[in-house]
Amino acid sequence: MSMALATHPLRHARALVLVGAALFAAGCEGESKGAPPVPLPPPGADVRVAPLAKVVVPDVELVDQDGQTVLLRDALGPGAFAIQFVFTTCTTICSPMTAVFARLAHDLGDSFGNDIRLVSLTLDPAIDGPEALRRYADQFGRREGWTFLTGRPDRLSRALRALGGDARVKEEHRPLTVIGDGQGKFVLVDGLASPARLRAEIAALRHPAKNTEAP
Amino acid sequence: MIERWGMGAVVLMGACLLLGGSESRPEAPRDRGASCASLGPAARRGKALYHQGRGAEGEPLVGLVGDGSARLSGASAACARCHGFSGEGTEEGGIAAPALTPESLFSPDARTGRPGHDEATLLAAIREGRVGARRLGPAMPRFTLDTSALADLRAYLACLGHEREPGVSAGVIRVGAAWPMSGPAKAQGAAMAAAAADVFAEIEAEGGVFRRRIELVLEDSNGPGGPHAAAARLARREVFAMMSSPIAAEPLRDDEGEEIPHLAPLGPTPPDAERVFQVRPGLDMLAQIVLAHAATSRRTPAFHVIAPDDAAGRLLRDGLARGQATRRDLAAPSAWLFVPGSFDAAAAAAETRARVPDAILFGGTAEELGAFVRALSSADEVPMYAPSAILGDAPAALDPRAARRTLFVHAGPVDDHVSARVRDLRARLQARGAPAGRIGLAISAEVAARTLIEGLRRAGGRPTRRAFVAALETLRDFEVGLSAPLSFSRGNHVGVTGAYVVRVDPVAREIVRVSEWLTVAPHR
Repeated sequence: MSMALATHPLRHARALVLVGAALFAAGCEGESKGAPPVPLPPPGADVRVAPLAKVVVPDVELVDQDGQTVLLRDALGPGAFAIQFVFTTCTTICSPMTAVFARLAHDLGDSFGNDIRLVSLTLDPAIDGPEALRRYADQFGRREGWTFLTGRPDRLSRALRALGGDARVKEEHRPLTVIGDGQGKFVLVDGLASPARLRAEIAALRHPAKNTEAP
Repeated sequence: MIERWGMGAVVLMGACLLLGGSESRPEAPRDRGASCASLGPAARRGKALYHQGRGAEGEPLVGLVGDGSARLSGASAACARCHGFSGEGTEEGGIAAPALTPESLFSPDARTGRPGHDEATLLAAIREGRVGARRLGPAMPRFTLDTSALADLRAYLACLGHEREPGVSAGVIRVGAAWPMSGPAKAQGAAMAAAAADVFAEIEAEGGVFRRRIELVLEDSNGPGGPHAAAARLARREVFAMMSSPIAAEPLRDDEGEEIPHLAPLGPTPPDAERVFQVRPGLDMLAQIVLAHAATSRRTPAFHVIAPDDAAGRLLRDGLARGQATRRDLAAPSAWLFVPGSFDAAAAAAETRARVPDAILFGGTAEELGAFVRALSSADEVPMYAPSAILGDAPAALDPRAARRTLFVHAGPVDDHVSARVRDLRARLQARGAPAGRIGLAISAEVAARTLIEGLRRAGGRPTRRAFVAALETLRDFEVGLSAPLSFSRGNHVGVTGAYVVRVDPVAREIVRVSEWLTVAPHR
């Protein structure tokens, strides 16, 4: 667990200073009953989005939650897509991330499955066989258009490396979402982004003009 | 910890304690050992919330994440998922889920500077995802808990990590088994009990496992209600784990709904089980090994399955079908399932002739196999496979014509050492005055007992079922003597994931290997 901390020392130090400052500024009133709560930073304030250059989706055969062999390319489909990296025995961020995907699938409406597909790639092929993935996916109401993928470790790791989701130790993985427009443009969303934020990032990538017009 | 967070945190925390520390806070219960030995009704309901995300009426616990639009519910929202089964907390993906044991929750936290929690601050953390002015991590859901559910959870949090483990006391670990103690199989039950008792006596003579002896708690599987009722009775008798007992379609749970670990069960692992450890591969896995063997000699063998229409027969058929689904070059198998106990050899032979399969997988008994082979003409020379279990302890009793034509898939070891160990087990059983005739089940009991001991040794001096399961999952090539070496992992609870293809030598009338050790990838 200390390794996870050591990976992002700056991030934690900054968070700590903020916490400390907030407590100090508030005279610790937040802790006592009756005091008006200090306004909290909005959720998702720590989400960062950056373009990903030179991503080539590798032509690898993976296995989906139904045990069917599928090309990563085919799972991503012809249009835009969002990919998350999770594993079913994960203890913290994977459930919230997957819940965000479930909501995103719902919010995308008609474009989900047609123009936009979702893929959840496992970081742990040794444990996450198709059966484990299917059980996990069912908990979140997976629908057609959202694929959970596992596969041979070498192939999976090729896919993860190419997409920037390769975690050296799976417990150190970060809440990452890779978004592609299907035309070769990619962005990396780092942090637990809300469904609305992911939807906005997908739209911004697909229709950059509209985005720059916005105030 | 303090060093990592730097002195700034300490100073700020000190300031906070000075400024805000005047309020009195409830103390965590002092004598947790006594008060937590048996949970009250509220704490039990809280436990279901904490571990399973299940409310008092069975309704799922619901938590909102991020901007509140995404929701987690039920097991994926359960506190234990992130904060750990003993409330130990975790750090993963750069996100910390703090410890929730009473000593951490109700004392000041040096790292964040938070004072000990009280009802109001707990409420704010659970419902609003904040501690004072500090927003909790983005992975912490805001739970929609009503006041009574919150009180239940609060009652359980006072005991989190301090519960007494069922079946474990200072000097004893109680292990349950449902074995035949009456009726026709009584002798086999007695042999199983003697085999287990012998292992446990040996361990006790060595000083026990962390100074605890193992107590075997037995129920008669031939008693009222049959084997599953016997297992259910055991579940209420505070056993830590189960060994080599009959297993129903649902895993066995204790009064609190916690799954009881079960080693080497006599039956297939239920789909929902998380703590069942099989020693040998199930029939579905054996069918896949048959497929792998057949595929080495023939490119696309079209299999025909002949098996009883029961759980075992369907496992064989489905295992073969699953194996074929992963290999595109293989034709789909056909299947002929018969009513168990009424096998019509002539009809099965006629059906086989009509289908012209490349290979047959036979799931009936040794007698049915003999009848089937006699009904086939000598022209129907298709390779035929069957699980070696149908031979029981007596390969010599197999019809010689069936012995000539059939290959058996055998997950046990085939060598002289094994026969020596079987002889040794027979001698030990006889020394205990137990019947040593048919000892197949006694072997299972012995393997289960030795695996149990190893798991307990690895689980440490304060064994919990969860630690025991995790310990078993670390076994790699564990030698138990009477079985091929066992390996388990998080993703695999089948100890032996391979088999030999063997035949019954027509002269020596015993099994001989015809293949290398063949393995398949386990899928849980």
